[in-house]
Amino acid sequence: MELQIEHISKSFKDKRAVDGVSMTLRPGVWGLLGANGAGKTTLMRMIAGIMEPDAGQIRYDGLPIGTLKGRYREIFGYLPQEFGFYPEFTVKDYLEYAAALKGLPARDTKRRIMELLEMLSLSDVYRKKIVKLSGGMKRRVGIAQALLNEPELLIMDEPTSGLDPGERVRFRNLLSEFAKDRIVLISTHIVSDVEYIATRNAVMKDGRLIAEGTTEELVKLVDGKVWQCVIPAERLPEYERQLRLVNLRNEADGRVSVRYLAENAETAVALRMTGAGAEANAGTAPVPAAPRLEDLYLWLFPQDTAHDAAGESRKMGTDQHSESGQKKGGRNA
Amino acid sequence: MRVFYLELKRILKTRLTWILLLASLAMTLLMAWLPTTFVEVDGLKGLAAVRRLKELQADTEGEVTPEKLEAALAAYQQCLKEYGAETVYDLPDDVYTRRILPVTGMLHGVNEVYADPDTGIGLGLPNIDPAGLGDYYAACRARLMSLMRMEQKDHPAARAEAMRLYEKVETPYHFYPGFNTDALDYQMLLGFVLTLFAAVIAAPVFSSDYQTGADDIQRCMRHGRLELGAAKAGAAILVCGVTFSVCMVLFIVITDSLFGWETVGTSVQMLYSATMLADMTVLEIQWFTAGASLLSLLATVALIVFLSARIRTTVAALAAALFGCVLPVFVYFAAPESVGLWLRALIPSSGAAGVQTSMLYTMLDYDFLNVVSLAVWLPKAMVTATALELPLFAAAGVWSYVKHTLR
Repeated sequence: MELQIEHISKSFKDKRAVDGVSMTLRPGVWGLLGANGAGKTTLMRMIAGIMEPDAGQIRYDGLPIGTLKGRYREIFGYLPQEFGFYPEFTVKDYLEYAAALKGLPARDTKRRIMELLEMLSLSDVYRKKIVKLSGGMKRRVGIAQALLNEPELLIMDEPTSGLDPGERVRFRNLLSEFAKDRIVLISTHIVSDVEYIATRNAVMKDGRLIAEGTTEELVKLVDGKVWQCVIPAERLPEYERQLRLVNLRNEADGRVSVRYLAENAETAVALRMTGAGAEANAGTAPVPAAPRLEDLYLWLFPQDTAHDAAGESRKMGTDQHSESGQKKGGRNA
Repeated sequence: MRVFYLELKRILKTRLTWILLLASLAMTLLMAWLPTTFVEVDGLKGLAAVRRLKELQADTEGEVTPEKLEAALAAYQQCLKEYGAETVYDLPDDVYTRRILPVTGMLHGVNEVYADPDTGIGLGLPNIDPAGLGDYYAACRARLMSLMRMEQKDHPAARAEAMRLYEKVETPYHFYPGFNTDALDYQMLLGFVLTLFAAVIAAPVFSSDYQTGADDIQRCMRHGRLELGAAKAGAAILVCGVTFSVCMVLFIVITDSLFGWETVGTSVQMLYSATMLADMTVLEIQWFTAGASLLSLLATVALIVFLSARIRTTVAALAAALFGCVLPVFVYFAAPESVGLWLRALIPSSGAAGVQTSMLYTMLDYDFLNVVSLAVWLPKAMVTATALELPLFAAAGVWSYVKHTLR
């Protein structure tokens, strides 16, 4: 089981959305990371066969997906970023409709739908109109339709957007279990979602694939570039201006623990030495921190740095974990 | 089939569809009843007036023989003479009701048939010799010939075709008093309203899915392309077709029940032009125009389905659909004659849109499509075109949907 993406390109008017992307997906969960406009959604749409690439080819087990037609769609599950549905449909109506379109035998449809509803905690809203459900529930209905035919190849664009933390954990577990012997590709801004479950990750920037590997392999790219220190709270604005803060946490003694990205510790050291106030007010010396996938993401996409997160943190006055993508929201190209 | 069933169920579950179905039913009942309210006879209105008219004209019902026509015209002229009146408007109301009204139905086409062959201007009933009505049906043919010489001056094939069609018209005509032609106008108007409703139902078939993103998911499913496209097009056509058929049948049954089932045995030549080319009774023209309008509606829905598959937003698809429905009206009034005739033949909604452009009024006319030495009567061309367009547009719609890709 193998999905080969070969030199895929796609342009829109004045923008090259996907630029010569090549990768081979094998069973497991694949995380597709990238900032807004990186080309993730466009790439996924081409894999789904709903958008024609300008160049390149996508093959499933060696055969172009265009020639496989119905056979490809039979083993395919897709959840786009925007989950469109008919407003008049209840959850039951919609899943029955999707099951028929996916060619599930009528006798298996009810059993499969019930399984998924149970799995996704949707049993209570089975007969409710989708339009009346919360955003998270709608998203779960979308996930349910994608899983209906137990696809060999599952593509999900921002599947966890709108899910609360508990739902996200359940979804991650569900996906990990589901991905055995299947190819699952998920794009997300919420790096922690793929960090825990992705067997491999691909990172896109400006339409190009700039990195690919396991989480461990990828975080090595920012080894030695992640630092942390504790500073006086009143000096936080200076640090925000000079450094790319990833995370900050208010400490009990009026100081702030900051985590930041930098080629080396020099800037922080300089800030510490030249800052206003007494030496006692200078804070601790920066020390290297263990890099995480999120650090890599923010290193690669500096426009998504944690300044916004820091701002939010100040407003809340509490510990703030920077899930920048979640805060920024937005769409991909 | 399962996909088709679920798609049908989906359409029937939408609130808009139910509103339109109920509105269609309400319009049918209202429009079937309204024409009876227009009849006024002898101080009576509505159904009472219809009954009174039938009583007054009872003696004239049945075959329209030259003898009956002679007698009717003689009675008409005698009445004017007795009262020294030049026209019926000079007569007292009660005299008009007792003596003129009983023969007006019978004499419907006489003034037209005996009009001046060169100018087409009628002489007026007081000036026609009743003895000359012995050759009434020969005079009808002569009148048609002179009319066609004026209407189709440069098209001998059209003139010959008109005469060939008229030769098939059964004579003598039949007349059964009481039916009001407003009912046929309202049938056409109902067809137009139902076509507009169908446009609203059909316009979002594909475009709505494009707009909401539902299409992105569906076309990734095993049966989400050809099967779903065919099911969507088929379900829209079926829902609109069944709605139209039910409403039309209901309309005709109610109308004919109100005016009386015996009245619809009247030859159409006794209600419209005496030289009308259709060999039909009122009942036959009711069914024929209903059938032709149905075909027109189905072809229109198929065209709208095609447009829906090509247009990415519901509003734009709806605007295009409604424009397609009213286009024949613009063509009728604005397009140069020969171009207009061809456009009316080709635009699928021609037979169901508007009243002037409807199949009924097209049948009342003497319009032909002339191609070299061939002439085709416009109603025939319209029916043939819509019969061909229905599968063509439906297939094009499904094909466009299957081939649709995101841009």
